[in-house]
Amino acid sequence: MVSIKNVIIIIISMFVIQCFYTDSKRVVLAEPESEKKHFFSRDESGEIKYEHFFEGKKRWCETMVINCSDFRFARATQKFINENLGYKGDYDYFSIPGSIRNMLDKETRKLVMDTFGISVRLHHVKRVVIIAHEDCIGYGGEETFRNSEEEYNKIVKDMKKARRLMRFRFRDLSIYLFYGRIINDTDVKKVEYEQIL
Amino acid sequence: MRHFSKILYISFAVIAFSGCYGKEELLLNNTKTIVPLYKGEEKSDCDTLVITCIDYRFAFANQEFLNKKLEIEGNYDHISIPGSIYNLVNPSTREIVFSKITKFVNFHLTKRIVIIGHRDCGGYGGSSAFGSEIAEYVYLTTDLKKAKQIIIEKYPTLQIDLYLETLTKEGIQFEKIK
Repeated sequence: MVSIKNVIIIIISMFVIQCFYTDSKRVVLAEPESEKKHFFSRDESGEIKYEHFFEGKKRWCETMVINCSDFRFARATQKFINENLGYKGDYDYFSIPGSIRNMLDKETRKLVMDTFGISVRLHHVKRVVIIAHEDCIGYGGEETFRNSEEEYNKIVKDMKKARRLMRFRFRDLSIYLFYGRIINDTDVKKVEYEQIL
Repeated sequence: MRHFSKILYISFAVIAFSGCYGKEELLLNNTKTIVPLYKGEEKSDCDTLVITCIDYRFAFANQEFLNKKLEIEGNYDHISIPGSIYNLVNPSTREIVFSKITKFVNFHLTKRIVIIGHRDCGGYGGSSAFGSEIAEYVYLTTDLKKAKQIIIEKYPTLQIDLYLETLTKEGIQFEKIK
């Protein structure tokens, strides 16, 4: 027979695990449908209205973007987030060398997780966009890999691992992954962002 | 029946971890999106390193300020962490942050560092942590100057610019600190 003691221990241990690893205890306020359609900080033409930030804390920002610091991708990434994804004026912009590489290192994991926690607790973030790219300094550049396929596989694997770690610590967040590449087919250079499911 | 409790433990562990796996839905229509690069972004080195805070109210204004006012579009590395230089001034985390800065200065041969702090910063505990506006201003500016000292001790040749931004109803004000 299963003793009652064992069952109690299991329930308590589950409770303790939940308490320690769940950081996103937020209260979701009921919002009317009409307010959901456009962003709080922007008017209809898409310009940011700074007055809205003073109208009390009715709504916080929805998105957290974690990006690499590299200058070659900076402008393209800004355009991608502001225009393609349409999060202009509504995202916390994290930019750290090697993006999520720091989260997998044991030395820096605690600091990085705590800084993400600030965003989740203070700004009540609901979705996370992680952007990694090829030839990243955080990984030591292109030279550390034999070919671009190996590099792609390694970085995608790391991103998925980071997503698991984040989901374990912050429940109820949707986490989207993107991988950036520079394409040189014609005279004009382009950056391609591929979403990883 | 002796192993029943073990099975229970394992099944609970599986439930606890299973939420961490799984895919996400598509954000845009296609998996691949192409964004054209701007002119003058084909260099291998860049001159400037920018350190800012993550705050969503200032994120877009920072980009506009850097691209249009300072005119360093496509020519800067951007480190963005909560509290901007809070973790650099704080002795317990200084080494980690400084190692990131040295990486950029050595790799991209940086000549100039721009540090942008702001009022009502979540990394410092918000405006309410200071008591008055003057106290907040003095504390933030001394922290910025401290960060400047810390970097100059190691890299005396770098040019370091400090800015403090304030949120107003019309927009964001940038103030240069000397």
